[in-house]
Amino acid sequence: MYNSLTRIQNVFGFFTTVAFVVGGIIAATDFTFSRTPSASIKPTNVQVVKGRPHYYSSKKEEYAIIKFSLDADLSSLFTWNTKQLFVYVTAEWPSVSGANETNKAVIWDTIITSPSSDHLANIGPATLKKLRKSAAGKSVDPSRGKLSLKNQRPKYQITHPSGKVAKTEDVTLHVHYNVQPWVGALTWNQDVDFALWKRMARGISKAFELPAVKKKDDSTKAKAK
Amino acid sequence: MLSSLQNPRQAAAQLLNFALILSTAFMMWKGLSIAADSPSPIVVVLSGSMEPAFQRGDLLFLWNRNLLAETDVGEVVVYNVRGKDIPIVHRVVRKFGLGEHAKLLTKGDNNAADDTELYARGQDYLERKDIIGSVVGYIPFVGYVTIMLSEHPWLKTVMLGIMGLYRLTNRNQMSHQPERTQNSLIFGTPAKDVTSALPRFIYSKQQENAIIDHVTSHLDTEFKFDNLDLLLEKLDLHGYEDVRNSRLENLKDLIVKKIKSKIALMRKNMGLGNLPID
Repeated sequence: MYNSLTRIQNVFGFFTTVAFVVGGIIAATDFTFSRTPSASIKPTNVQVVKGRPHYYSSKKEEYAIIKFSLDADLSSLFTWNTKQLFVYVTAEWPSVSGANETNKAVIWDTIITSPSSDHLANIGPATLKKLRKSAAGKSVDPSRGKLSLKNQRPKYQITHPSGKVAKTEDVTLHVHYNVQPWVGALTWNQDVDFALWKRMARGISKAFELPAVKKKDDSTKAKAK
Repeated sequence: MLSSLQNPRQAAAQLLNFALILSTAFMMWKGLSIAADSPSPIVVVLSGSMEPAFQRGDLLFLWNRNLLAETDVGEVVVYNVRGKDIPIVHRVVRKFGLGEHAKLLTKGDNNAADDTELYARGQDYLERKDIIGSVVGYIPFVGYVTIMLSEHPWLKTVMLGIMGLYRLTNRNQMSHQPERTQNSLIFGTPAKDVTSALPRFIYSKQQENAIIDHVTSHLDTEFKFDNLDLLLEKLDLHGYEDVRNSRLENLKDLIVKKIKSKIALMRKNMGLGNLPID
């Protein structure tokens, strides 16, 4: 009835049960931490250029470069179950002025690792050492959730399948986040409050218009002057 | 091997049990599939393009219904490139338009460039139908077993070997089960001569304790004579299902009747009231 194989089997079965229950409890504790994120964002410099936005682009098209300033306090999103925070800024605009926002594009993003997952980040050893030092041995470091960017260059240029983005109206910048847990459910910024989790305070810029295409000769002329 | 030939009933039960486990697993998978409206509601991460969020071997739970909102920018989705059957887990970074034919562009968090290069020839954007689900839940490491199995095929052989060994030892265990015949002795009397009167069941101390255990662990008022098989095994009086005495009475029935009256007597002595025996 009880040979060593059934014993091993029982131990393994018990281990997996315990592991899953503990995992479930850890995932559930997310709801016991309050979330009070806030952010403010504004565009600082907007340009529209005609050219190849990527090295692999097959055709020339209009693309917009939106520089922005961002101040965000996402420190309350860091708990013991936070593996990383993915923060991204989108530009959103309606196809027809006044309609729902039907065009969305990420212009900038960043991964903020929790000190417990620093070793997983795709960075060099020197940067890793610096990052580790910044947390000073803490397993949770809320200070990492504070962002302050001035006139930040976007990582991605905005294009549109039609190839035209110049003079687009009603463009807004939005700050979003995605909390990646060590175990459990992935969560994003909410539009409504949910128990201890508050919606993002502000986090949307005023509407602005993309300018006309910047002429190449304009810039060369400017340089010549 | 031989034991299974000798005892086809046991072999059939074992086969049935195995089939039951397989079909339960299959039904749970398909049930989840229907609930999530996704052909594969649980996927294992195969590449590092979403690191540090997802490592190879992590388990992702997918949801493919748009109950409240459409699949949007920022969601991590699993999609199949047209014409290829490799699921890719990446984040949606652009969305143009609304509804079924919205144009979606994806990118791995850990990749420098977006996925335009990964898509099929002539395909610049994904559509909703290319996506088999959005990631909603996450469990680390658990899926690594499948990666190990697909990358080191010899592990499969080892696992099959262990399973075979287990079956074999299981068989051996079963052959330890006493072979009961008409000549097996029950309290000194050959089975063929056992009747409802003979022999007297004089229990050993050990057997007496086993019966006391059984009675005290079933103290509820609605006492029923179920689970006697386990008790029979403890009393070493099991395995008489197919044995008959010279009057063609079933030996197990005779034994069970004896034990039932023993239990009834015991309960009466303990002040638990009378029990009707059948």
